Amino acid sequence: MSDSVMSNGAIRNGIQMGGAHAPLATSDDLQLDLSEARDWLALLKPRVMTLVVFSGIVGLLVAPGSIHPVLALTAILCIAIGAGAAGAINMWYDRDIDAVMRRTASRPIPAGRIRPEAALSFGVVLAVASTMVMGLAVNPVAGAVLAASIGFYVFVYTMWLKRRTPQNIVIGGAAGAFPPVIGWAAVTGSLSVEALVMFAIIFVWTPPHFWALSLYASGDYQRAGVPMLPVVAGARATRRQIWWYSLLLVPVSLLPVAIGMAGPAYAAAAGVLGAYFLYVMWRVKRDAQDESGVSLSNDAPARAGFRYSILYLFALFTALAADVLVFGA
Amino acid sequence: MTPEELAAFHRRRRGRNYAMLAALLALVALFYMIAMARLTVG
Repeated sequence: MSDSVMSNGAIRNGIQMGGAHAPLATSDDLQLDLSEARDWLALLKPRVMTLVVFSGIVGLLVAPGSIHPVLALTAILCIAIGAGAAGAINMWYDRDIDAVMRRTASRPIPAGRIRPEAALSFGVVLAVASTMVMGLAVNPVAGAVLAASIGFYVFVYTMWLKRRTPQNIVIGGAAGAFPPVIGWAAVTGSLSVEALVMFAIIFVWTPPHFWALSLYASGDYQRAGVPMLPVVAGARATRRQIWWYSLLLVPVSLLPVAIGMAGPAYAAAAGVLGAYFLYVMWRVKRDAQDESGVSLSNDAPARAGFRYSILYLFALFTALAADVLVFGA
Repeated sequence: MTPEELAAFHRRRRGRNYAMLAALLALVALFYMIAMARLTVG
């Protein structure tokens, strides 16, 4: 008797035994069910979620007025789960390209640990649940903005833009700019120019941040047929675009001062952080490269630029929250 | 399926079940706290 037949017999015995072994139906079910709890957590893209949650918290902190701590915690949780749900649906939709990209091949769906339809169900349930809880427990405006951000990421970025245009992350980057707006709306129940300014900062920050990554991951995107800027326009044009968006980011980061939302302390922090951002991205632009723009330094400046861009946004929003909370500008 | 594979399956399932239990308990606690907070806020 072969091993598989023996194991099928053991499984059927398990059904008859009941208790802990009861739900074992067929060996096929067992083979399909390779997921661990951490795989489901990975579907929520926890590393991306960190920045989302952080900027959402800053939106809550700088908003005028007050919110019950439990409702604030609920709002943060809904932002995190909503962002994670969008990430899970993204992984479901992009499973074909994830499988051919080195960076993403070990994700739970392409690695075969979670079935695509299970991931989709998981994402949709969490998206609906987080939006409903936000709308009912916190306020309808925050719920609506959360729903819009999930919809934007899934339908506009993932399904529409990502595979069609090298401007995908310029427009699609708006999805990542929503969290501080949601945080603001959770407290105030409305949207205002301050919330839009925080949105604008993340919106303009996204292209240099993501294109720095795509410079050294362009081989992956090329293999997957994703028209990221370095694939379509080349590394040299991408470095130029990174530089222009970095130049735009510095004045945009000072908008909170211009509208009276923040004061001199924030202005000083934004100035210093922005100046270093420009220095780092200037090094990306001036990276040693061959005639076709391919880096001769293994894209070391781009890697440094990507790392600093994350630190930059954390520090900038920390400065904004500190300025508003301490000086009450 | 070998006994080792079956044991690994049980280990994974136990982990998922505990995670689900934790999530459900957290949801119960969260909804209770939300209800109390909404009552307090009015």
